[in-house]
Amino acid sequence: MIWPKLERRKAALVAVRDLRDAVSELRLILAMVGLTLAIPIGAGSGVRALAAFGGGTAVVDRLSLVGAFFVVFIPASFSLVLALESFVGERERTTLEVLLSTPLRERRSMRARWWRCSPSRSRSVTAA
Amino acid sequence: MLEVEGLAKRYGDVLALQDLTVSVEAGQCLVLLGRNGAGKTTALRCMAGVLLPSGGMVKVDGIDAADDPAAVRARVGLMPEIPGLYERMSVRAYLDHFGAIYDIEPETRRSRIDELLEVFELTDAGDRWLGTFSKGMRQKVALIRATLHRPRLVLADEPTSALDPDSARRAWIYLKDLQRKGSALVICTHSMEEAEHLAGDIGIMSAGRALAIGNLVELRRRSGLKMRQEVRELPTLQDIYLAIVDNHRDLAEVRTA
Repeated sequence: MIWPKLERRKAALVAVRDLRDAVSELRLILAMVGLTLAIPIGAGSGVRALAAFGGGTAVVDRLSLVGAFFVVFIPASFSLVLALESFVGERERTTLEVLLSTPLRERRSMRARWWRCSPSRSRSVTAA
Repeated sequence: MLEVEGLAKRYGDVLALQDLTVSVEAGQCLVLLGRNGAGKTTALRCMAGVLLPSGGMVKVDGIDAADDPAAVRARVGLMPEIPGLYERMSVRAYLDHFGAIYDIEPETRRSRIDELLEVFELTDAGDRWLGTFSKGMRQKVALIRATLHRPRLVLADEPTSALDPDSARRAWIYLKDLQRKGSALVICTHSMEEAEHLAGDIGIMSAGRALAIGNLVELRRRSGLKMRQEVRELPTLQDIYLAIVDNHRDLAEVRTA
């Protein structure tokens, strides 16, 4: 089937442009990288210091869990930031109307955004 | 080419558009005039398949927008009032991006982009980010983007509102040329000069309704106005401005060289 293939290619065009736009914003990237590194390192150091200075095992275990949650949550929250930027930002910049006036089907356009917002996909597009 | 019948759009309690019936043949131009909030932009958005109408029918090239909106949008070029450009892209990259979405072959779109940048005197700015562009330049880019795929129907919302008279005249020539090549045009404007220059038919809208649709002669007759007694023979400021700019075009070329 040529048409769905063509539609996928167009959706990929939108996703790649969106991603490039997001990663070209230096402040956003710095904030993401900074938070990704600072919070887990800070949490790890805190837990280690607490263990070294005689914190109870139960407290250390609980803090380790909280630290682990941040390690997972912070990178995952970037998808949320990208999604917000993509959906709301596009509307605010009034570029959505232009995109909606193209032959790209709405469902494809939305799917492109979700695809772009998925962290694993984002990495593969950046690598490409 | 474009058939609109009983088109209506409701936003909550507000009936933004009601019972609009128009048709535009290939190579013809319909200009919609009206006050702010008259429903011109809503009509344009419904025709472009961007807004789902609350009632009525839009057909482009015989295809009903309700049945196959993507096929309709592929035949339409919409130029919204606010250009809506991606600020962190160069003009060429931006136009190339939309050219790809419209399935234009890479070679063809490169040559078309070069040609249109030349027409609108943007060749030198081709690699600059759109975020650095002036309002008028943005409007030119929006017009190029809307017509890059040579649409069968061009819908333009105040296409020259931010352009200087010289650039506006270029835009009109360009739109006339599209008409000659068989595109149908629907244009919303507040400029009477633009309307007189481009229009075959003129639709006058108010409060979401079309008050009158017809060519200038028909509208003149419907308005009941008598022949004006005075004849203005002196050139207008617009004429003087364009003549001076034309006489000194060589200076402008030196500056960009």
